[in-house]
Amino acid sequence: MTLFTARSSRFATLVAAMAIVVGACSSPASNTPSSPAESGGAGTPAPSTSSYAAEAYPADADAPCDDATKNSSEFKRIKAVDEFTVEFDLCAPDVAFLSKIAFASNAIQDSDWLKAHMADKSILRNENGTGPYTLKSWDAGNRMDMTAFAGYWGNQARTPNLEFQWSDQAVSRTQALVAGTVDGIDNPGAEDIKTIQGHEDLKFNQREGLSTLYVGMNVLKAPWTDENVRKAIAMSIDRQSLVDHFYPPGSSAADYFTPCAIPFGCVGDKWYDYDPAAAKALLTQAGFPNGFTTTLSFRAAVRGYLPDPPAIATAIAADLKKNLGITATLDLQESGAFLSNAANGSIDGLYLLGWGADFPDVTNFLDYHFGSGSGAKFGKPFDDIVAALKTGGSSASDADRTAAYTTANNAIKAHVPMALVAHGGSGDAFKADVVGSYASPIGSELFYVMSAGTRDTLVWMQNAEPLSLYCGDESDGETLRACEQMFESLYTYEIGGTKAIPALATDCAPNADLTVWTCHLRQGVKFHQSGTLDANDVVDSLALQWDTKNPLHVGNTGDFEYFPGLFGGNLNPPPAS
Amino acid sequence: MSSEPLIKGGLAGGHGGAGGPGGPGAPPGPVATADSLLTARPASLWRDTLASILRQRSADVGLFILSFLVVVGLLAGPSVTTTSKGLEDSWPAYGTDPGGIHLAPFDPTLPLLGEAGQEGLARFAPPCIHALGCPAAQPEHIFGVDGNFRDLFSRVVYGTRVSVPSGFIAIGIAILIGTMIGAVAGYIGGWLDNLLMRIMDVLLAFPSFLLAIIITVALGRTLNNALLAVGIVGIPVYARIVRASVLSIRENEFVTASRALGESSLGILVRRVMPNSLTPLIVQGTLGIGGAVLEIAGLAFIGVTGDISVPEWGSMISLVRGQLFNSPHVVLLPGFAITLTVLGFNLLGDGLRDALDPRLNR
Repeated sequence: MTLFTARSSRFATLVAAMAIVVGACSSPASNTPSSPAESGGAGTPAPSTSSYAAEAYPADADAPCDDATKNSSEFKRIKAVDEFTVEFDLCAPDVAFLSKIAFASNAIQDSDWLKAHMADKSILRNENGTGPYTLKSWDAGNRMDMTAFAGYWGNQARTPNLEFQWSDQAVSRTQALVAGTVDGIDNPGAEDIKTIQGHEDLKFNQREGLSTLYVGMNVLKAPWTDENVRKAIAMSIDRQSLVDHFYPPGSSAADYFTPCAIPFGCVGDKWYDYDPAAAKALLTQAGFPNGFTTTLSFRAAVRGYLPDPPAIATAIAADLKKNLGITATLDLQESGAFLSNAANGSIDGLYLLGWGADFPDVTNFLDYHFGSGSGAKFGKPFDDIVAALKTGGSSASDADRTAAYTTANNAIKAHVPMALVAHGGSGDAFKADVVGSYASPIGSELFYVMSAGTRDTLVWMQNAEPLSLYCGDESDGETLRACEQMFESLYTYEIGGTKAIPALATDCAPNADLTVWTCHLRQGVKFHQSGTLDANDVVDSLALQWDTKNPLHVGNTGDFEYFPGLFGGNLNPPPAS
Repeated sequence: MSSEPLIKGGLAGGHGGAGGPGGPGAPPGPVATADSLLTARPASLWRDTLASILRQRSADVGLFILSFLVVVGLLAGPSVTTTSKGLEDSWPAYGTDPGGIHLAPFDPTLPLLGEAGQEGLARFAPPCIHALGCPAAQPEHIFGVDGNFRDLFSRVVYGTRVSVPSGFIAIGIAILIGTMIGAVAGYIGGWLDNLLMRIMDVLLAFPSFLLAIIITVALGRTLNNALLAVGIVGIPVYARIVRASVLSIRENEFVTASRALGESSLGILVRRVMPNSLTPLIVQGTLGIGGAVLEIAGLAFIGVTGDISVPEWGSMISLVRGQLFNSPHVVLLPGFAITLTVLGFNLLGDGLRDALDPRLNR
């Protein structure tokens, strides 16, 4: 099961030999947690297995915490203490650790499966998860079929089969639901919600507006290098008008990057008011009295933050033309290419992108976009924002977090690496006879808790086709939702809520200063194809994302956007450009 | 002096059509009296051809439709063009008369939301014509508005400026390059003929629309590149037609005579062979323009022609295709414009074929 070097193999052999000796002596001491927190945890007994070789990553020493060129993340080491106990050593306290570790990109995979299927990327089209559904077939471009996993450790899926379909047209999705060809749809259009609510055989579930649309720009590329130009863009977009005319109920114009329903999201100064005259003056001051030409890139994929991409892009371009004389040519890009271009900072003009909450913590919004691991989304991270976010993310005190996020929000407003637009409300809709349907506030609906009336297949239609089945290297919500049906992380989010609750771990408990988290794994958890869950699977699944030099750091595009976004960076981070 | 028209008229009739083989035929009439011959207008290739075309009802209808579209395009209003610097729109600010004749009542790229006199305008608002009973309080838009509160009639009218010339340009490219390849291959023959025709066979082996998509994406997603792509995939058709004509014409006596008189190969090709190969080219070209308009609209529909703000019919349909049942006017009206254009070219092409092909002369 090991993935690592000869040195780690020797270490593992030594540990195994010790385990044999200890096992022969029948001493329970070898499995006793060493820290008070660990001993206090509601741990699952961790019986020693004679053949088990517990791993650690890095194998022989902690990763440095004081040299960002070697380790920019908050992780110091991931250790398999025994077959069913994992310890995460952190460089700094992380109050949102459980929420982060519960996220779909941190799903646990079998080590042998990773080794066999990552290098050739066959992992992108095949799965070996632990979730309630297992992949039956994926007819690319048309549908994805799943069937209930008989060996699932938890409650069996209430509907034996699950089918994913997709359409980027809100009206098409609504028509499919009304016609009865699907059981549930995501993001009905603003015009269709009334139709659904007035239909006695259908029901609409409102999703809180936990998403943000912004107009991004690379601050290292002209003319966005000039802060006045960026401010002018921010002040020239009529956010309220966009919300009034293109967004469904529950949406609002964005005053802060983080929606206000998330604690610490809306502290500090509000965003710039819509002020075309002031915007024009700033642009003139920057040397562009008559505007300039640029592009506004976007993708056709409908999201809660972007319910009608072409229409909203057109409206924003019209605002820029009318208020600033900027001619923004609309550049519709393929979804996967667009995300990659935006992430690596290769878009020269403006781009329209957004973010939906993965977990309800301000770090999920701010750290991912502006933290030390945010990469080149906006060209570069700003030091003062990074510092404030680091303080906020490592503090357990509400007062300290409020102060830190006030500083961060004010710095974001001052630097204007993007122009805020809206928090998009959304929802999903189901046939009325689907029992247990709900809309997750973070868009991660789990269908195994739903019963599709008397039918044996629940058909779900979402906005777009999943990009792959390896979600460690995906950031697209439609892809993550498909993964969530088949894969599990140590923790998950409660049904219909945002609280992190145990999944593959029975519990994860921190030490006193929140720098060591010890997780006890559920025993007897089987992977769909082969393998049984153990602590090395956890180490390997996360280590390959953490370390850019790990031989299995391959993924789909190789960007692995989420890990640095969640945990501040990488081991062996790529050199700053 | 009096014998000259007689000679000209006699020659035209005797050839079965001025311009040589394959040319339009003006069948020799009954034996003319000397008076009638003296008063008859001299025969002319182009006049005879036009008269022959106008006798075809389908050509008349096609010409009428296309003339209508050309007039609509010319009188649409101030210039709105795409350049390397983006969309350049010559319309003045909202509420200012652009001057001159302009069929489009509004700037086709301007969202009317919030403009004076447009209060209460809704997304995808249906057509509103006050004379037909639409409430006076509601802003008048005879085709309704699209999803960005833009006047649909103005956009459809401006679409004429994009789509009609697009077909001409794409087929112009195909005819120009196809004619050169076909003429060279047919006249020179040998290994060059073989090579060029095999290349044409390879091009023909690809599904044309798919090839057009590939070329457009490879060159860059702009309308100009889409035109070039549609032109490139059309080349083999014209190359083969011209080659076949050249192969047949180069053996004629008048070509041999030219050669005997010492005319160069290029001169023979340009002055003797090509003019006599034009008829099938014109017929196929006219029919091909309709197909090209459709292909360009298809490329715009799938979003490979660049800026979606440009009022192009295929792109307009693509952006609102989901509204077919909720707001059918935004989908059907640009669709009708495409249909009308393609129909116009096809009817004209059919008429030209009937008029110019001697085998179909009745």
